[in-house]
This record gives sequence, structure tokens and C-alpha cells, in this order.
Amino acid sequence: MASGATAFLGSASERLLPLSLPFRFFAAAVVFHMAAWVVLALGANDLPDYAGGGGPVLAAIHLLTLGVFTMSAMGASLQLLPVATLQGFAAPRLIAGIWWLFNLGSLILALGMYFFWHRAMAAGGTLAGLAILLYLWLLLGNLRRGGALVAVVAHGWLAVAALLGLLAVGLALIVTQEYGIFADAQRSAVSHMLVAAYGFMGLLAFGFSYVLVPMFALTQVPGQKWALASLGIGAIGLVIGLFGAWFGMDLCAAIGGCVGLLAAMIHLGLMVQALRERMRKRLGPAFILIRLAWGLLPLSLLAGIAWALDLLGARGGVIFSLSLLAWLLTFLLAILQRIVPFLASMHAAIAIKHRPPTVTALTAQMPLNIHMYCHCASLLLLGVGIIWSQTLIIVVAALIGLVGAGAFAWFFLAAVRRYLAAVVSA
Amino acid sequence: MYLDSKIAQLLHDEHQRTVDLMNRLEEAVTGRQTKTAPANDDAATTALLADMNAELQATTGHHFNFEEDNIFPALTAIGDVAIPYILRQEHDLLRNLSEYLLPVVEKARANGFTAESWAEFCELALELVERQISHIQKEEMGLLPTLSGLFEDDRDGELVMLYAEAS
Repeated sequence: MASGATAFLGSASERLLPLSLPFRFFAAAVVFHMAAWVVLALGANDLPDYAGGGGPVLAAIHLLTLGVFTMSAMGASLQLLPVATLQGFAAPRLIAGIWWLFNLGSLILALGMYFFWHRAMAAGGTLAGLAILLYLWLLLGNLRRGGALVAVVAHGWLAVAALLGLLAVGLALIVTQEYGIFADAQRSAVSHMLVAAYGFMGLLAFGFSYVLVPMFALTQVPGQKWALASLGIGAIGLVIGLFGAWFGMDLCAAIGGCVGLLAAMIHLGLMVQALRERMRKRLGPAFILIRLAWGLLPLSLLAGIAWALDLLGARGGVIFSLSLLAWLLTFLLAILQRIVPFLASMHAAIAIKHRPPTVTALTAQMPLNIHMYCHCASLLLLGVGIIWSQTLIIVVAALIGLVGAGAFAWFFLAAVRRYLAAVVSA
Repeated sequence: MYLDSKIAQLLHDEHQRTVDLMNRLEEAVTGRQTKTAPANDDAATTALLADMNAELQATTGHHFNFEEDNIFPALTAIGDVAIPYILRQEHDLLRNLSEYLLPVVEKARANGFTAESWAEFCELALELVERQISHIQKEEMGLLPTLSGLFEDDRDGELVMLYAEAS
């Protein structure tokens, strides 16, 4: 029966993907996470006064946004979206192809950015862009079927639109370095970042929170009306903020931030309400990071508003970017540490009839503890290093972050190793 | 969300009751107090063991059988095979675990715990808590949301009646 059930995995009606598909995206994200800290340490000197342009800081940012955020989002959405739409993806080879293309593209793009090689940037951007377009095609095919979780599907639609927008602006930014299409490349880059972080990743984070938080905490899915209100207000805030950022209207950008803050507060209110009504009392250590991420989300918006109003001084942009990336990274790593052993345990239940390993048995808690302390310390030190413009503090922060990323890789490998050991011994 | 389907809401309510019991059980078998067996006249332990006895003897079995006979075949019929398969496997595992745990609970209700039986109870109880919670998480995410579109209103009502009659 195990083989019979496994044979169905990957069919259009089947919502559970073969484990190797989401896990290859998570594995790549784990490696890019370590690479991002290494490159940030190498570019520590440039970070406090970074105002855009090629070099290690830009490479580190894209190792994080493409290599960690988008990579994990692809892996997670391919497995989680079928839960919302009740329809699986029947394209395992295409998904594997997307993975290769996106890895290669992200790597070449990051190398091009690090060394400021325009052709490498163009080639990497094209490959990554192609992978993103194929992923979008898969996503659209799944989203158009609708599904039970209307709010999650609606977040998916807007995330798709944002992904298209950020891809177009991102590729144009590469071209503009040679041919100068944009009058103000810095403002275009900020717009690209806003669409990427709040648009694509933020909307996916909001949408999947309505599936994952209720599942882990065992609570009711938040009310659809309020989730859609948060989405609508957030989208309006993003459009206003983008308009302000693109055309250099700072007050408009700040108003967009305020509207976005309202959307974030509605979302966080729904999350808090869901946790208050939860059946499961013990949430586990991952929820420390989830709560931290929930704190960093409004902080990033407040920093963005303050930056737009010129209240943060010369380093406002870097402080805003740090809080924004910190929110997404913290949230993502918290979610990954819950879904990796959870998915592995589901697949173990298919392969092993007699006592498959539990989620706890597949979770190496020590590396997760090390990661949590290192992650928090590195973010704090990065903030201090940027504000005081201390390269040494930034290097120390990046090295601590690297230790944390290494510990997270240890946790991931341990989960895979324990899963394989259980399957082999069964 | 689940209110769309009466049977989904009923199964969700059952989950809630089971999770409440698992929370109490986890509280009782973790932490410092678990180093020594509770006293025979401890009221909280007596109540917990009575509830566990009922749960292990019948309640969960009824819930599992109902899903296997009425829900999983409908999912399999629309081509969703892996999730019902995993849930059925977990039902078997939880039944098996309950068979191990039930005599320990019955013995403790009759004679209280010894140091050895308490240690055995704690180990089995923790495994039961983890597997039950993980199983319910999967059903809450992967099963209940599908039910609103899976059954017509009439069939949804029939299933509620069927569940009540069999309990």
C-alpha cells in the first residue's frame, strides 16, 4: 500500500508532493542563508552608508531575498497552496527544472552583483527571471481553481502580481546600470524592494499564516472578512507607498506606510486572536521567533515611515531595510523549523507502517536553540553596528549570524538524516 | 471556515475535546512533579485517568472508524489518496498505542501507580500526546477544509446523524 500511495503523489488530484521537491528548495535556502552572512561580513565596511549600487551588500541582500526568501517561498507554496486550493501540482519535472534554473540564476546574479559584472547580472537575472515566470505559471494554474481558503488564495493572487512587478523592475534595474533607463535608479531600487518585501514575500507570509498558525496552534482559521480587509488595505498602502517612492513624494510614501501599518495591525490582531482561542497550549520554541517577527513587522513600517519623513538621518534607508529583512527572515526560519519535520513525519507515515518517527524525533532542538540565540544576537548587533557605523560590530554580527545559519543547516540535515534512517530501517 | 460543513464542525469539536485531554495529560507527565508517582488519592490524577480510560476505550475509536468508513472513501474517490492513507496509518498507530496504554491506565485506576508503572505511563502518554496532536493538526489542515465542498448539504446532514447514532 505504501508504494501504491506513493505512486499517486504528484497527480493533479494529489495534494502531497514527493518530499524531495519541497525539500530541495529548503536545502538550497539553508545554503544561501549561510552564504548571505559570509558575503555580508565581506561587505561590512560598506553597509552603514549603503545607498544602492553593486558590491557585496547588494549581493548579500539578493542572496537573502532570492536565495532564502523566494527559494523557501517556492518550496513552501508548492506544498501549502494545494491545501488552500484543494488541488495539487502535477508537474514534478517542471518543479525540479525550476529549482535548477533558479539556483543557477540566483548564484550567477549574486556573483555579478558582488563583482559588479554587468553581463553576469544580466545572465543571472534572466535565468532567475525565467525560473520565476515558470513558477508563476504553475502558481496561476493552481490559484485559478479557487478553493476553500478564499483569503489565502486572494493573497496568492496579489503575491503573483507583485512578483511580476518586482521581476520587471529588477530586470530593468540591471539594464539601467548600462543604459540608464530610470531617471532615478535609487528610487526605482527602493520601489523594487518594497514590492519584493511587502508585496510578494509579505503577502505570501500573511496568506500562509492563515493556514500555518491555526494548524500549529490548533485554532480556528481567522475570519475571512477581516483577512481580506487586511489584504485590501495592505494592497492600497503598498500602491500609495510605491507611488510616493517612485515619484519622490516622501509624504505620499509615508502615508502608504501608515496605511500598510493599519493592514499589518489587522493581520496581527487576527493572529493574536487566533492564538488566544487556540486548543494547543504549548506552542514550542518556534513561536518565540514568530512573535519576534510579528514585532518586527510594524517596526519595519514605522522605520519606513520615519525614513520617508527624513527622521532617521543618513542611515534611515539601511535601518529600514534591516528591519524589513529581519522581519521576513525571522518569520521564514520560524516557519521552516516547524514545517520541515512536520512534512518529513507525514512522508515517514507513508513509508513506515510500524511506528514512524514523530515530529519531535525528527527535530534536533539543540541546533535550533543555537540558531535562535545567534539569529537574535546578530540582528541586534547589526542594528547597533549600522547606527554607530562600526564595521567590527557588523563583522561580528555577520559571523554570529553565520554560526546561527550553520546551526540551522545542522537542524535541517539532522531532520533529513533521521527521516532517511527511519525509512531505511523500516 | 469549517461552519460551511456541519460534519466538519462536529469533527473539529471532537478534536477540541481530545486536545483538551491531551493538554491535561501532557501537563501531568512533564515537568518536575513527574519524578515521583502521584498519590493514589490525588483528585486530578483520578479524574485524568477516568477521562483517559473513556477516551482510550471508545471515543477515539468511534471518531476514527467514522472517518475511515465515511470520509476517506469520498476523498479517495476524487483522487486524493495520500492524505487519507497517512491519516488511516496514524489511526492504526494510535489504536495500537491505546492498546498498550489502556491496561496501564486500568491498573493505575485500580491500584495506583508504582514507580515503574508511572515511568511506563509517562513514556506512553507523551508518545500518545505527540502523535494525537500531530494527527489532529493534519486533519485540521488537510481534511476538514475539504469537507465543505465534498458533500452535498443533505449528505452532510446525514453524516452528522450517522455520527450521533453510532456514538
